Amino acid sequence: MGKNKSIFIEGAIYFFIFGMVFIFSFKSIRGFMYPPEIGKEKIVGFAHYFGYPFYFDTIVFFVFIFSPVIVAFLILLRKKLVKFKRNV
Amino acid sequence: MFRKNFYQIVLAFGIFCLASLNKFNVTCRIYKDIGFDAQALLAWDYSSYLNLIPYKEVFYPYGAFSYYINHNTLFQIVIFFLSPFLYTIFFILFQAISKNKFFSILAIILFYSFVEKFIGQATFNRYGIITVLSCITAFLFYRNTYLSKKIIFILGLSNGIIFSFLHDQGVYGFLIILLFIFINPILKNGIKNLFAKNYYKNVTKSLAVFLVGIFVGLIPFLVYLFYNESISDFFVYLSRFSDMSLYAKTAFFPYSRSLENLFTFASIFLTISYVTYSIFLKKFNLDLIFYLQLSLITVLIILEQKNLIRSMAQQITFISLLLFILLALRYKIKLLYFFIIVIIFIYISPLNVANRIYIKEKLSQKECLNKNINNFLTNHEEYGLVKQKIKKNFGYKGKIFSFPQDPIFYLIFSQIPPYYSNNYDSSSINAQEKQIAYMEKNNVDYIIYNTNVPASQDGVPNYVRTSEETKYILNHFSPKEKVDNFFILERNKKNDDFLKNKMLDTMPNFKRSLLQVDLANIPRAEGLYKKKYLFIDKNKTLFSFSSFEEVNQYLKKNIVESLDKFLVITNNKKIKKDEVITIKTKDKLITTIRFYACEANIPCIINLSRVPLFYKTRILNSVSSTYGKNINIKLLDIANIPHFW
Repeated sequence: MGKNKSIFIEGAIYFFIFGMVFIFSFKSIRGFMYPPEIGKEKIVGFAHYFGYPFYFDTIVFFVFIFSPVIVAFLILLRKKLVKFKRNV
Repeated sequence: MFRKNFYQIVLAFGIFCLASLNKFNVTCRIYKDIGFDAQALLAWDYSSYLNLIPYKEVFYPYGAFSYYINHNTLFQIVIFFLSPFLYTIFFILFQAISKNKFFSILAIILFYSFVEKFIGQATFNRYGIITVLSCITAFLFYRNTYLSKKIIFILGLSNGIIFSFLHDQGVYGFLIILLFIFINPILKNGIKNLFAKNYYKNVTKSLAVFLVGIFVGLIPFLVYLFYNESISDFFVYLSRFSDMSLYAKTAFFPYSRSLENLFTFASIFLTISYVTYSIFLKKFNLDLIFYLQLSLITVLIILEQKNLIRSMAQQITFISLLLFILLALRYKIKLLYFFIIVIIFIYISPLNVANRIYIKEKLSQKECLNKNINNFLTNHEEYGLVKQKIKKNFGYKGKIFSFPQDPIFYLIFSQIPPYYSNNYDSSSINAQEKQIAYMEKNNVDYIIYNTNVPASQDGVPNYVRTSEETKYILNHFSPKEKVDNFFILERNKKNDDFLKNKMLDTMPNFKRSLLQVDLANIPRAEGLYKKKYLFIDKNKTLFSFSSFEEVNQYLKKNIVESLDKFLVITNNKKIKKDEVITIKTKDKLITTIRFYACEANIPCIINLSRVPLFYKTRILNSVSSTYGKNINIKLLDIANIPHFW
């Protein structure tokens, strides 16, 4: 198997695991975050009215776009571990 | 590179100008169907026609450029050359990153076709400016670790000018240039650069020159504000700018699976994946494509924050396309086929989402407004009937007020609109007070109430979003006439009771919407964050009982007025379903209040004065609820309520 292909498959497995964890924990993460407070300006928008955590979408968005960095880091870590084991 | 390809660049600019020739001076927007967005845009066109000054006399969030476009020849000339200029810059960039001329020509044709068919020129002009600015910044920083003072000053100057005309784009530009000033030396020389004195010295110098450039770029705008005596209004507008995100934020995930969002996510995800892969696992070159990818990703991440608040996915897809083109140029694998397939797809696709809201025509500003009004009145006769009733039947010559969101009435009645054209934009308490002041100052005797719109935009009822404004209207006006879905409300001559007006029975759904109130999460959030303010100094607890039977016995024996009363209910266990409270008053009116159940031992706080039935002070007769046992019910008299909703 080519080097790139094996990295691609390994990365895809990590993404799959990430995706599954996210899908199954979506509602509990959202429920865990507190609804926004109505401030002094008395603004009641969708998030305040329905109790939608204000920064929930932003956090998920950043986790999503930086997931390739986490996956690449995991692959690198795995490679280093294998190398270390071989040397030992 | 520029000298070598000078003639090609001039030729490209000429071709783009020729392609835009049919759009010169075509600034009249004829709205296809006048919904919420179109009415707001039309009201702003009208304000511009009336020469109302933005920030001072009218709330306008898009910057002076689009506000004055219709009646300023210089702006029309600038706008004519703007998109050819932006396209030409992209063409230069494609030439710089692709050594094959044919590829760069194909890439620009693809990009042009995509923008013209899916984005529309107005949107491209707006977001294209920030995209081009970020690409130019990336190009400059790619060539030099630290930019010369002259170049960084010009960047600041451009940023200041952009901010003057398109405020949000100016802020984005500022963030992007700032990012490059800080990270470019680290990218070029490594993280060890962070510990070098030179880094901080050079970065501080660049930053200072950049800020001076911005200030110089802002001078004409400051002169404009000073000339119009609107400097303080502008800063008030800026200070309240973040309010927009508070009232406009909706849940993003229902929209996230749209084609446009998936396209954008895919472009960001693939680019970051590729760059990460290159950095971590492969030999990596800091080439121009990397710099462009970095700048475009930054632009997209910033714009996505706006998209997460309120969907604008379609408007930013051209930046995603640029990322795809960069990825394709990087790989060079069957690139030609890829481009040809996409171009064919764009041309044969029946989709044409550019200019969804309006089409453009070459008309004077006055003709343009008249055509819009006439088109609208032809399709919506009831609006004309409302005018007829008020003007002819009632013989009224004063000003009217539209609630919650039909600003087209201000055009139909030829009157100067209020600062905010609808109740959505006037969500904050300051804004509501401004709307009330308009009604007071202009002696508005008639309000046109669209009963078909119980909630503007996102399901938040009007009595919640603009509680103060609704309270003012219901306490000072009463229904006089019904025209289709509209109630024409007349100012009360005596102390009339809106909810007892017999005309309300002709619109049972509207009456129900005012008496069957849904406060959703508000009592829960108030309990979570404000319980600490409940029992401070001057607040008085009228009663504290463990059942509603006890509450009703108390109400039988005592006269309890609704003014400034807060119902505080605590349950010792968390229930998953909603709770409903029914309150009867001594004058035999009944209201139900639905809300989300609160956490165990955290009170639900209901400010009775925010419930439409209690906009007028009434005497409470009895209360019942869906609550079970083990609860505590308190009624508090809170005279000073700045902490509470």
